[in-house]
Amino acid sequence: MTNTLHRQGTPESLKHDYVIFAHTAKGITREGSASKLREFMRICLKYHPENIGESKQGNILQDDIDIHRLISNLSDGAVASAVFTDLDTLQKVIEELIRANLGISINISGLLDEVQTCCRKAGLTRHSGEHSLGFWGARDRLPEREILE
Amino acid sequence: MGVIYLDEDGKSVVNQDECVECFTCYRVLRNEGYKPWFVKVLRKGLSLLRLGYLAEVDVCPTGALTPPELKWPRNLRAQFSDPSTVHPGTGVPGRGTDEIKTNDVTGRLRKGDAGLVVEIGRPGIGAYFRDIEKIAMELAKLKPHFEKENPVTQLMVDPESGKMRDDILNEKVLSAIIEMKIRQERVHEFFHALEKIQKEVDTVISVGIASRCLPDGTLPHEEWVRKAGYALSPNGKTNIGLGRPLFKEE
Repeated sequence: MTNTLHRQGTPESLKHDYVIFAHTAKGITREGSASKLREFMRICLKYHPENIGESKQGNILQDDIDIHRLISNLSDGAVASAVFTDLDTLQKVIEELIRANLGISINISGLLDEVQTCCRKAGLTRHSGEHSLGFWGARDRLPEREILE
Repeated sequence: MGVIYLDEDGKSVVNQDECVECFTCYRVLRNEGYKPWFVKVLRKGLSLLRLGYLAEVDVCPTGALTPPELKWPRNLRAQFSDPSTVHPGTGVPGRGTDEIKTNDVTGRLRKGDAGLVVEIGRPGIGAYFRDIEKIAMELAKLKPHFEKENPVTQLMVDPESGKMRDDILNEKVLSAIIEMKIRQERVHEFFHALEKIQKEVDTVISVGIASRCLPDGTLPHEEWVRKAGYALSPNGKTNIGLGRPLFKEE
């Protein structure tokens, strides 16, 4: 699922999938955010993410792109994200983001309890959280579970 | 979506009713750049020999597909289906909204609020606005606060009833998100409404729930969902609270 909220799987199968992304709010943090988003991506890149990219320009796994050029081309309000597969690295990224004090909203998609523990270890209390309540409606039209996962 | 299919003559046809104008075909189809006359002659020659050419699925030999110029209300399809099309109502590409992603600076969800996101058509099925309207009208009976910055709310002629514009009801989109909030203690009413209306639409609905954390970092909506008898996913989204200035509740 491109909407990571509804990624399917067991806690075991989901435990190596943490997507960290920056988001800006129109009229509050979006204007003038390009340099902060670049710094966010540089910090993520330093910790060797499994994947990294931006919604308009693509990502290093799927596209033939120069990540440094992608970072320099980021504009205000870009949706920048990176994927990490272990919590120790994720914690280091969070700690560096706290020190950087960029002022843009940072979100993590992944196992909620693990992310909360990670935040606590980094000295943060999470602000807000969202769960999936699953699929409703004409579920018989969905493909089998293996494909959804 | 199953929109492109081969007709009886073996030619590719686009089903315009089912097409959601996601533009994926324009983005991913490789154009081999052959002249149409050459491909026609080649195919005719092969058919005389009772041979056919089975191309890879992401190849168009002549680049025959060209993006249409979309007018109202069909351009809604692209706004809700093509992640590279900027939605005029939100100013950002795609059908999504900020939800909790900027809650640390916007205060969209406050103490005691349950944020509910009802994404109709996802995953992979798509939805007509007539189905989206049905769900919106059922949920409107709860007297929720429909998020004003949300693209679906902006298409309601009456947020009190959830009624959508009549001229868009036959438009199909990849998915559309109804975004609303109610008090957490009323979450069971939301489930009741969703249980009822889900049987009346021929598409799927992905549902999410969010709240602002308590001072100890726990999520208060978890208790209300469990009390209502429903299960929560082990995974989800976390806003870690680094946005500045932090929104302060009075």
